[in-house]
Amino acid sequence: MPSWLIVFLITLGYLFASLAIGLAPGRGASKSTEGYVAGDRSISFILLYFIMGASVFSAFAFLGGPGWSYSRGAAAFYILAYASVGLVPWYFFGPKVAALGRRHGYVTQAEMFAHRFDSRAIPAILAILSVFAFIPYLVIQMRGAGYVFNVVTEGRVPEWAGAAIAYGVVLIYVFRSGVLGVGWTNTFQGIFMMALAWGLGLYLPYRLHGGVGPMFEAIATEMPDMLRGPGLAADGQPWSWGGYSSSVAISALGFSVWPHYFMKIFTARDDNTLKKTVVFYPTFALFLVPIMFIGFSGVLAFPGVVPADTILPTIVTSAQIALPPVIVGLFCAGALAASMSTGDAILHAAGAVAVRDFWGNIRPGSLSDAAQRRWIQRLVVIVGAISYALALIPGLSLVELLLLSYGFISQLFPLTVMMLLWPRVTRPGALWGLLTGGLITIVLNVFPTLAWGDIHPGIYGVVGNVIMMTIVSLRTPPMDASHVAKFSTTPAPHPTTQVSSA
Amino acid sequence: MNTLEHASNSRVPASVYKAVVVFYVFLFLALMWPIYPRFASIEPRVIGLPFSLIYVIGGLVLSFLALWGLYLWEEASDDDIKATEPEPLYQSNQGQE
Repeated sequence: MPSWLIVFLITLGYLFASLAIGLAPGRGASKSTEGYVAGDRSISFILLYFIMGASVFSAFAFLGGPGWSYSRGAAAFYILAYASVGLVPWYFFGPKVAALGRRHGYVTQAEMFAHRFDSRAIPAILAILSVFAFIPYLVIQMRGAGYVFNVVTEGRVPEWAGAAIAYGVVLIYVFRSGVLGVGWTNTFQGIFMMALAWGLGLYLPYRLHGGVGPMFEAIATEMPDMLRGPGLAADGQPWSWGGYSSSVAISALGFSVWPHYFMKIFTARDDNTLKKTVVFYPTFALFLVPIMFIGFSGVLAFPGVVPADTILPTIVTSAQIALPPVIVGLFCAGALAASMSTGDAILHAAGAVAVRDFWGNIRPGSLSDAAQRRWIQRLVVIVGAISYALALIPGLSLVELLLLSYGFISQLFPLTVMMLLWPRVTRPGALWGLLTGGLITIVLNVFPTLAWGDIHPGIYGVVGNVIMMTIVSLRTPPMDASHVAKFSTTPAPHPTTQVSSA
Repeated sequence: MNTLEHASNSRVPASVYKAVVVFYVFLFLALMWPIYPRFASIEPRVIGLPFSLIYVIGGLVLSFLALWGLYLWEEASDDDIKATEPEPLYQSNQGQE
């Protein structure tokens, strides 16, 4: 049997396993929208840990992570930096948000904002922003999957067909099983990727340089700028500290409020599940370290690979390494897993957000629960199809779109924090803050020369957002005190805590 | 920020929550300019890794340990509450609707 066929069969076998695992839990959840979107609020620690963890291992981390460390060196450490603090806010506001969700039946983030601000415009705007932010993400995941198939079959399966096969499988289990399908496949895919990351991350430096230490020794001698923070910019010149720091900041702020993550708060079985997930989250992020070793191992051994994101498949399939086809097959399955485990959560969230937050606010009450569930499923297919069509357009640059969407999403952070900590924030304040932040982000993306320094436009947006939200809130009449009290993390003090903290 | 301890309904002192929040704000800042640049050098290398990487991994590990410590503390004090009072008190805030 030719080696490409072995690789291809292993990859296919992996896809079937994902499908079987993804379809199994569909029968367990209730047929309601709550069952489909929030898993009946019964998801356990292990499942939630892997749902959140697998989203780190997106195609970006699996292909982009090595690509960054290969071409930009220490710049890639920014991913570790934001992952170490990004989810921490959940520890403090997660239980409160989950309790509100249980009491008022939210399954998406915007539903909570809608209720707190008594506004239908806010969730509808958020829904549009979210779906626009999701699509470039999804397109990148799909392209990654297509690329993997193409490489492993030595070009016999074109990229369009590879992406179609992988996302066909994703569509089936997301369609059928909702968030539980996402959870169980992510657990399977997550364990798989962890093993693969450490295996390859330690083996490749050993094979190419005699170990991780000698590898860094060699790079430190030949290209010291690579290993010094903040690494290199895309053009190969040393990166600026402003660029590095603001990338850490905007990613960390945006991280806890990305709609497809945030809504997972509503899936947790209880507060301890949620808190434990946040506590153990950095252990998942640690698996990015060997992923970066893979990129570093190629710096001196495989110079000049373009685009840099293809360094991992290039090394793995190279004749110089001569990995057995079974390992190559497992690697390809792992890369597929990375793409699919991110894509499934986004697809699922996009459907829920579009139906519940957009349509639900344009035409409130027009859909029964069963109809909502059906429409979410249809939207999953439609968003998948649109992203697939975009993925086929050659040369469409997504990096700009992705930066823009990160800038948008991070505008939700001040809104979330203010809502929970500051009872005085009003509907006009929230709306003006969001619009100001979004507008600043757009303008500075289009005219980067207007911004001072090499700082991410979203940071300016967040600053403008907070200032505007504060000023407008203070100048508009406060909202009903008993209404806003429900959302504040300052509930009526209860006796036990008073005694102990006094 | 003295509101945070209420969110957890535990007996962990408020000052601990404040300390943890301050710690995370500091950790977040320490991972960026102007603090990280002071530590973003190649030497001293630790177990073969450049110090710029060790520093960031150190942040990751500290972040994990700090929150884990808080979690265990809360868990221990929650057990105390359960041992002395059969009904969790915070339920009195709910069911008003």
